[in-house]
Amino acid sequence: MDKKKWKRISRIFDLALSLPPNQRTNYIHRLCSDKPELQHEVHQLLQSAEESEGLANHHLQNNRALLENFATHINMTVPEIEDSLEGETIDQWELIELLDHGGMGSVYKARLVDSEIHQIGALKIMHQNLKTPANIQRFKLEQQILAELNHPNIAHRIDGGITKNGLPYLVMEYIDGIPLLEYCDKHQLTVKKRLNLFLGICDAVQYAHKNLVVHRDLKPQNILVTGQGHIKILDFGIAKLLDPNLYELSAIKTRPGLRLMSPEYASPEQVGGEAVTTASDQYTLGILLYELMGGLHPFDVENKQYSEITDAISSQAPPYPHQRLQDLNNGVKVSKIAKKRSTQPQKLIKTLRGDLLSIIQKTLRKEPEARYDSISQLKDDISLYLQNKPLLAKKDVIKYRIVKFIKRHGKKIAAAISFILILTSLIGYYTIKLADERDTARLEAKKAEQVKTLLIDIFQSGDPFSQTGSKDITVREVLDRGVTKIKNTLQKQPLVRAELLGALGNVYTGLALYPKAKPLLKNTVDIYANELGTNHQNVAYTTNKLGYLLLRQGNYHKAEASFKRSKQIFKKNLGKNNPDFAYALKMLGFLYSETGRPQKALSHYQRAINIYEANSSPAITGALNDLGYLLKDLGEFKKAEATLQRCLNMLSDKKQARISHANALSGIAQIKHQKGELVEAEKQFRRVLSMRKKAFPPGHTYIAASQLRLGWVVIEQGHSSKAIPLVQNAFRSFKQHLPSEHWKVAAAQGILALIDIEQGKYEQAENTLLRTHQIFKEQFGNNNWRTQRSKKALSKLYSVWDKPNLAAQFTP
Amino acid sequence: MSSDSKSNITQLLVQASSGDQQAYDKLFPMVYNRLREIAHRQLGKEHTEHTLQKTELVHEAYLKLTDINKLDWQNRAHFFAIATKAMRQILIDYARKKTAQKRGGQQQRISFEEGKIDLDRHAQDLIALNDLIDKMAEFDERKSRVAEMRFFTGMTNREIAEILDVSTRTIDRDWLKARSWLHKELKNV
Repeated sequence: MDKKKWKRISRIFDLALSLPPNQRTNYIHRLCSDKPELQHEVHQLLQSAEESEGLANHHLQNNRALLENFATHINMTVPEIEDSLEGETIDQWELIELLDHGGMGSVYKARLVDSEIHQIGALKIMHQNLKTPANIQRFKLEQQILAELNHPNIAHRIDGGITKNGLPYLVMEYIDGIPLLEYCDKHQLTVKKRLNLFLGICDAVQYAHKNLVVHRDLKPQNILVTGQGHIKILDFGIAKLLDPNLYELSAIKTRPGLRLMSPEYASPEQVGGEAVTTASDQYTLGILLYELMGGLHPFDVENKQYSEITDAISSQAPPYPHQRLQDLNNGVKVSKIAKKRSTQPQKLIKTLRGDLLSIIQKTLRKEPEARYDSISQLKDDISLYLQNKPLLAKKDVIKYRIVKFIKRHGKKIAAAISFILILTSLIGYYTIKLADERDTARLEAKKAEQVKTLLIDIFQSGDPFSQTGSKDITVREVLDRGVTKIKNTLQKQPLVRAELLGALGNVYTGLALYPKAKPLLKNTVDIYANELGTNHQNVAYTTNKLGYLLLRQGNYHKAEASFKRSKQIFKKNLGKNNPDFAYALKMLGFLYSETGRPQKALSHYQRAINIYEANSSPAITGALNDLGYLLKDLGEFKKAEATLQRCLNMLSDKKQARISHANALSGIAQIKHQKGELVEAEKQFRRVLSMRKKAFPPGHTYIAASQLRLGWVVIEQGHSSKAIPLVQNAFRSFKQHLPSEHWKVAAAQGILALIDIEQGKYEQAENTLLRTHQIFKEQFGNNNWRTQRSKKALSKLYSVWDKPNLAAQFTP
Repeated sequence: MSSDSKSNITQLLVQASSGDQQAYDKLFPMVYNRLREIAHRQLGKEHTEHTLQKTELVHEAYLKLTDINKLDWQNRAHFFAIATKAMRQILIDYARKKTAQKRGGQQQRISFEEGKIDLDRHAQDLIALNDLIDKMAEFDERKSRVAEMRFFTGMTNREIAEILDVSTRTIDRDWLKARSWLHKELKNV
């Protein structure tokens, strides 16, 4: 039976069943007129439908009988997971007691029999049902690794072999000890004593690394402390060899080891499936150190799902250990933790926020290259700490940030580094100053102005800040901390606070982090309205920004109201010939063009441009760009190109204007596309894309827009397979940043549908295009070029699908 | 079962749910063995008034093997999918063994409750049904899975709908068609 035929039979079957029995025969006959053999099939099936009523129950009953029979007559020869081998003897080892029952195997306390020497060992044996060639290889590799490692802090190998059933086993040194954390708590070890134990762990790990072995699973349960206070590291079961040529055995893939390890102690690169190096063990040691010192895991891992934990590891910055304790808001628990370290809560917190913090943070960096170069460096810093000497890590923090920032954002953002200083020292400074000299309202304004300028210097060009992934974590951290800081420290300087919050709101908007930006901007508007009156122009500025954010989110009604409000205020305060008033007009124009009111948009742009011209304002380029786009959308290609060219000419002598430059260029490329000059259009889109890739972080919607346009031109030239990755990238980016019913998402889907048509997936293309068409129609109206293009695409679809009636319906 | 092993299985299940073939490969024998063991324990006792259904076997395996607090319904659904396959495997393995014994001349013919059910005959039917369900998978994957769950785990349409994340009505229709087709084909065997 082929799928197509079965699908058809199923449909006829369903339809027939919905009719009274006496009408079915005729109906089936009619539906199968082209393929009479189907008739028989459907009839048989209908007959079966009645006869098979009790089929399942009958089978189930018999199945149970069969199972019962099976259960009574078959000996369960397969050892069960739970089955203990206690009391049995494997080669010369007698298994005394089950110690651990893990996922891969069980560990027994074992005694050497038939020997004059009394020897106890820990015998590890693989589960019967995991006996696959790969697992056996892994098991042998562990033996090989252990045989090579001779270190007092690593449990060494004594013996090994294969049982009669073909299961490999391994005998290790038996450790009479308790897990690390438990040991430290039980003996109420101080932070210093804990650090000394930790140095012992580092010794062992460093030794393994020197022997080219990465442990990969250094969870606390795998680290025991003996009664004499010696450290012993266990379980190299998923260890990895850094040099795969070291032993023949290691040819097996050790990569899946990531999946086997405990996620709570996994490093970001392990979680991300990237290369695991010695730095991964260092990260795990960092988590261990964090827990050892502060008593809590850096992330809230209790009762969390696997994916929640791995998400936190790969994308969240761990909170400071002392903050983690304070955030608990649980005095009793904190006291307990402190007591286990023979100290008071306040003292513990003070210790945690000191130099120790820098060490922990350095080991917990998401980027492996930002951690200590080696375990030996980590050891050095701990030793320095224990001697109260300045640390390696501490020097690094600021330098590291600075280098990273500059690398990522170029020299123009170098000033951004000072942001941390601004917020911690500058604001503190002003706050005190302002409190002292309270007669100086003017001074306040001046200083607020200074802070604002500084912030804007830093962040205005910060539009292209990265927005996703782990790369921007330091930037985000800085911003988030900025918000908290401002909210907490500037209660008495509402205006300074508003300026800073507003500036941060703009930065978040630039990062497309709209949900974060919105409350900040709203808050800013409220503060200004309260402090300065609802008609103050500061209210207008921020309302305008808020409007822009709302527009970006597709919240057009509220955006329009915001622009109108700010336009009104500017008019009142500054008159009708002011550039700020013009800006409000321009924004309104942009809103009108996005919502299918081109004529209104046109007049608004024109008025804005006139005002800018009269004031010789450089802001005119923005309005020219938008006007150019609108003219293009209206099909006035000549005027559009001239306008955009004028904009480009004015931008050409400006250094910072790469983004605006790319925008205008993209407009011209689109005109070429719409005029059918596909080769030239493609060339220009490629140029725009490469400009935007330099200016924006990966995944930014501006890059997506370029990819989409380029993809479209490529498709229209008949190379749809080449366009697939471009268009899919664009679609993903839009979907991530915009609501799913946003027209840009629909546009990307529409272009994907064009590829579907090429590939013959007509039904899929039809669904998508109808939806896209509908969204465009609602957004821009029927006459808009986008709406018309989607219509044309539908007509093309129906004609290649051989549905001429429908095709005619959609021919523009 | 130690909690470590429980959490290990839980984790494997989460990974298997997200499409990790290796995790699945490790999980399957565990579930398979556990089901066999439960069946052995629950159904093997002589003279017991057992009312245990196969769904309950699967439920029990689920509770015993996993840390349910850490799982969402998708993981649960995945477990049932795996358990269904395991249960199917157990039954078919045994059915094959029985028919092989018969072919090999070991005429045991152990009839259930004095011949009410001819188990040898059922073993043969079951193998035929098994093959047909495989065959159906080639042209209608979902209906084949519905049949599998109905026949081998005894799940209701509602439970199946939840697992396959479609409406119960859809499963009602799927099941009607699946069983009609299977019945029709069985008649022709």
